[in-house]
Amino acid sequence: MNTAFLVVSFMNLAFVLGLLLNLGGLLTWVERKQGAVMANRIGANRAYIPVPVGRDPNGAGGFKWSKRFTLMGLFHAITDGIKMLTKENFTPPFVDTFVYNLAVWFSAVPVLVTFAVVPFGGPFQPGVMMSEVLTMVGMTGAAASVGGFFGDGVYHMQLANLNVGLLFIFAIGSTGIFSAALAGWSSGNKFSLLGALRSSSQMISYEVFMGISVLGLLVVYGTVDFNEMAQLQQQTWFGVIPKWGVLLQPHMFFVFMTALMAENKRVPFDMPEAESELVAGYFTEYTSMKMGLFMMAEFLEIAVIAGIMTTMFFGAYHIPGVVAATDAMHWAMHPELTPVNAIFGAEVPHALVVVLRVGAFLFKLIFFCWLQILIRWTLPKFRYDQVMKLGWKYMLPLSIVNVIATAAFMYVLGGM
Amino acid sequence: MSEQLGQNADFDNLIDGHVMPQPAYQGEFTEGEIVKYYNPSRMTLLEKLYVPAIIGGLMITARVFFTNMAKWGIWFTYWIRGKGKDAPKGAVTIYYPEETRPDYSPINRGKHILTMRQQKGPSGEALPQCVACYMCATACPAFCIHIVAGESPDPNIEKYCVEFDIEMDKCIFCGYCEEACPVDAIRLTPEPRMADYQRERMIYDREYLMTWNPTYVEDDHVYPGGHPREE
Amino acid sequence: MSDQVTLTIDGKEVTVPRGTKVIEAAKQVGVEIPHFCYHPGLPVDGNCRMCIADVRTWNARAEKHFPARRPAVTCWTDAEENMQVFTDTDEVKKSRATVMEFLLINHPIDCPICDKAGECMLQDHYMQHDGKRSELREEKIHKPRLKPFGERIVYNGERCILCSRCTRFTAHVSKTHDLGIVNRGDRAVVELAQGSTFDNAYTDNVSDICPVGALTKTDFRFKKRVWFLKHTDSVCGGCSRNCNTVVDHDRAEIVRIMPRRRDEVNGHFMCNEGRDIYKSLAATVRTSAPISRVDELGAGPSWDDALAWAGGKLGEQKKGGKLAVIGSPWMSNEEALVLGHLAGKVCKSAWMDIKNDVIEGYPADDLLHTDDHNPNRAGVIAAGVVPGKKDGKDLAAIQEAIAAGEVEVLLVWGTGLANHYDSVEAMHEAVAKVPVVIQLTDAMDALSEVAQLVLPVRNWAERDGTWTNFEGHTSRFRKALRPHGQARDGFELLSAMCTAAGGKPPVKTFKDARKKLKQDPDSDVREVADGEFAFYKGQSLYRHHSGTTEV
Ligand code: SF4
Ligand code: SF4
Ligand code: SF4
Ligand code: SF4
Repeated sequence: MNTAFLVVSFMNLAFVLGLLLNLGGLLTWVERKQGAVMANRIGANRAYIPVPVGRDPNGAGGFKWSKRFTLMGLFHAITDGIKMLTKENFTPPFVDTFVYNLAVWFSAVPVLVTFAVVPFGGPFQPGVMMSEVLTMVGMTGAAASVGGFFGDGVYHMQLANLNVGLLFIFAIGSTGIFSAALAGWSSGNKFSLLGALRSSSQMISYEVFMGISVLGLLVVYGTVDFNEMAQLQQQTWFGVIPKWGVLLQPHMFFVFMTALMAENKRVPFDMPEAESELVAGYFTEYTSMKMGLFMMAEFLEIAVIAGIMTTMFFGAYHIPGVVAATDAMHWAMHPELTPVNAIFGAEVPHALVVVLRVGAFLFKLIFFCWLQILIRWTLPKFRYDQVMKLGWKYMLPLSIVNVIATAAFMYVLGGM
Repeated sequence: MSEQLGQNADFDNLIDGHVMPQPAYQGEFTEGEIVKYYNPSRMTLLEKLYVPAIIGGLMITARVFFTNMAKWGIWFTYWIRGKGKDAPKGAVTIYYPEETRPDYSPINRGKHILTMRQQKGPSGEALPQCVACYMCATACPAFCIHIVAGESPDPNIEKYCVEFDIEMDKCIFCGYCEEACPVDAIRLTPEPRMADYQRERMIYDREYLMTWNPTYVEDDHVYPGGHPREE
Repeated sequence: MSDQVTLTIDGKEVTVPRGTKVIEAAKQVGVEIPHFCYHPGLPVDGNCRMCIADVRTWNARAEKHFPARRPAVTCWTDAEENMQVFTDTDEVKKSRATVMEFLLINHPIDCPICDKAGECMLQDHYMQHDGKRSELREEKIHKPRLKPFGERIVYNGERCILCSRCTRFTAHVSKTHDLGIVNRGDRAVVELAQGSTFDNAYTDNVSDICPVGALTKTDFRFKKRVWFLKHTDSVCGGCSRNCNTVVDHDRAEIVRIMPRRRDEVNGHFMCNEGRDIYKSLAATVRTSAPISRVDELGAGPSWDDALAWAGGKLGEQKKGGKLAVIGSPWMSNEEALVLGHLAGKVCKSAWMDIKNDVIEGYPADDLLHTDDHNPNRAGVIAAGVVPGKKDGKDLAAIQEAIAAGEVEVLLVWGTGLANHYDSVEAMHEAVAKVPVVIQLTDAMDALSEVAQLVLPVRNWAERDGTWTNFEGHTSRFRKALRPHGQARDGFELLSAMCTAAGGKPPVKTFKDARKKLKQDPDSDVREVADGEFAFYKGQSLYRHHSGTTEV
């Protein structure tokens, strides 16, 4: 483990944390604003920052304030944060304090940790990339030293390059159940307990076929490593149609997406919270930032779900036609070609490819966030029995049939 | 005949992607017939599969979303030139206190008014039309009208209201008071703006109800000519 | 000829004493015959023709019913053996509608500003028997309006339907002959007799019995619409007659007091003083919590502390016999029962008497009013608070003993002890010699300024109880208003004092108390008042009618 590796890891870490936490906050705003636009409304627009625009003509030394600077209501996300942090942090006297506080951590931490294995850009050479950029702006000296520091090393744009990628996600993601179950149980409130029971049974039910539904895809990919999956999706049929997961297993795309959304406990699967029945479900007794963390975890999970969907079904960071010299899998598939950074065969700098890929990943990520919020504002809530029926009677058999069919198909075909 | 009742012959009226159910029964009711209303159970296979229907729904909401976003884009081109106020927006709602709508319905039920008599009282004072019959207070489902009756200075009138308070924060604008009044003394004008920062000021007394200046005057009935309550 | 006759009214058989009017017989089988001028408390006049019905008499010789040549007025017709009465034939209905139409020709339909609206017989009958629009196109006849009849009544000639109830009342009941009907035809109006000021003690009854809003009380005029009122059965405490009343109240405030029919006590009427009694109630000064002037308790003791202290002081008197108990003729029978027990059985009081709480009022007359201005002297004595019960030691003896400093504990119920002294100062001086004065009262008076412990109790409008009038008839009053502050029910408080003094209350419940007093708890069943129709009872007009308010 050398210094360059550490530096790259910290860069990745900073990028991911910055991305996720900002996205979490931003999504609270997107949620309101998108819902409003979908419903012909204006949406959040009241929080503002007063901007001084000069001296007050009549006041003695005071400022003349501009009109309210609302920036499309973006400050609502900030005011929410301030509100959460400054509200009284009240612990009801009847709760089991230790478990009660522990549950909060179980809500946000697993969500953040899951993102560790999601690759947000392809393998890249920081040395090459940075020296290219620095040369372009004319700092040749700095370019040489940075290039020398990183060398030709190839790194992954991913926090943890685990070869068990998907299993890691299932393992960590399922601890999210603890959050709801512990919070509901320790709150000493029957609404909370009902919410906890509902969330436990809902999440466990949906986790069953969440795993099974992607087995088919894994059979096709032959790996659970997210990096390899991303690379594999760069292949094409007839040189034009990318072999993205969604084209390989479109039906399972819906099943997996449903399962993930049910895990997130948002409308239409918001049984555990169900404002109209259970006050706020399992986090009824939580106040201030503790409650804020539960909410935050939900919004973070939107982003995480979007990341997973992108990686598994939508070619991760892949843009058709764009390849990098570091794409090992691609060049292994095409031994007749020479590894270069290229867009549709035209050679380009490595930095451009990296930027394009990160951009593509972000674009897909944001698209899936948008899609989830679209679903949340479109579909009405299910009844509890409908949730269970959907899970056990339709999704689960469908997934199992799919696994068997895919396996048989692959056996007959003898590979992808 | 009767098994057709409630069933809709032309359920294929598709408006904007939604099935618009027609009124189930539009004829005269004949005695002895039991009219049943139910939703048609004519789901196609595509609808039963659920996923296509969901995608269809998402398409509709997405279309609304993008249409509105495009409209906001056009709005932005106005706004950047400083003409944001008059530009068409991508929403049907408004920024309420800054913007107001000019197009309230003339039959909108808003702020109350007490009409006045054309003849002045013996000492020249303005007299309300109200005869303090308490019909409005009786009809009011919110119990928000409080009247104190008294002997009118005009002996021909006999009874009138000495005090007449409406708790506007309790009022549900049902208009029953207007309906109940036998002498057309209380009316709900279309005026919708009543918000205030103090609860006490939401209790409108007789003087205010008689003298506030309604913007919407729909006929030549004697409306008072006073001033709005001072801020 | 037997005294009873049996007749059939709308197919229902009823047996009544000979001489009963058909309209009364019909009431007994639940058939309501509409009427204006008939009033059970007044001589029959039969001028309104509203109570017309198809009456067929039995001809014993021909052995069949003879159809009447024309419908008969049932308020005038005596019930006869084997008579048949039909009150809902088409002909009768048509006749009623015609009567209504005539009455309404010149009626101003002032209902919005008419105080009778809501309990107006004309309104009720219009809704039930007429319901047509006016066909009249001419200007209505105008008559004097706003005409004062004395201080308390205002007459509106346009609303008057000339039923003559009011004139019959002044002629036959109050016998003052103040009112009469003058002029003829559509100019007829009720007029005050020349020289009359209409200021006798019973004037307000004419407003009650007036079927329409022609006679309104200045006291109630424009005060409240009647459908907002809640009605609670009560008893007037103005004198020992105990007229049965209905307390009409709204928003914890008594608006008016109306008489309630009780034939053996007050008949149908009551006096003006009794109607105004609610004003004196509102004027009393009251305390909302116990007041003490002893150091152990502090100025504002809690109920528990106050009771414990009082119980201790009373408990010391178990053998000592230095206790004087002064009851009040305003106590209910049940309270008197417990007080008598507390004084005689739990403690051994040496002196016992009843004081005169109120000594001023209307003079007695031969109609209703008596010269005892307190309601329940007879009942309190019967229940056990007997003046001079022990060795004839009565109020005079108490006063002597107080002056001699022999009394250690003085237990007083109610106000007005100063009435028995020359002046308030004299009373203060005398009472200062008693170490412990405990007063249970619903109003503050001179004694409350010096008593060691003042315990607030509820007044008659706030509690349940019975009073017995000077003739021995017991009437029940019910709780109408929310109790003032922490004031406690006298029965319950005295029972608690028995316990605190180390004894046992004589009875557990109100019902037991009445059983022990051998009072018939059903002796005061409320009749449907005249002009109040069962037909309308369940309808929205009476939606505010809820009887006793239980808080
Ligand atoms: S509009 Fe309805 S709620 Fe408002 S005052 Fe009139 S009757 Fe009452
Ligand atoms: S109903 Fe009309 S006349 Fe009667 S009290 Fe109300 S406003 Fe006055
Ligand atoms: S007397 Fe009766 S009918 Fe006539 S105005 Fe009064 S309430 Fe109306
Ligand atoms: S004033 Fe009333 S009681 Fe007297 S005659 Fe007229 S309607 Fe009858």
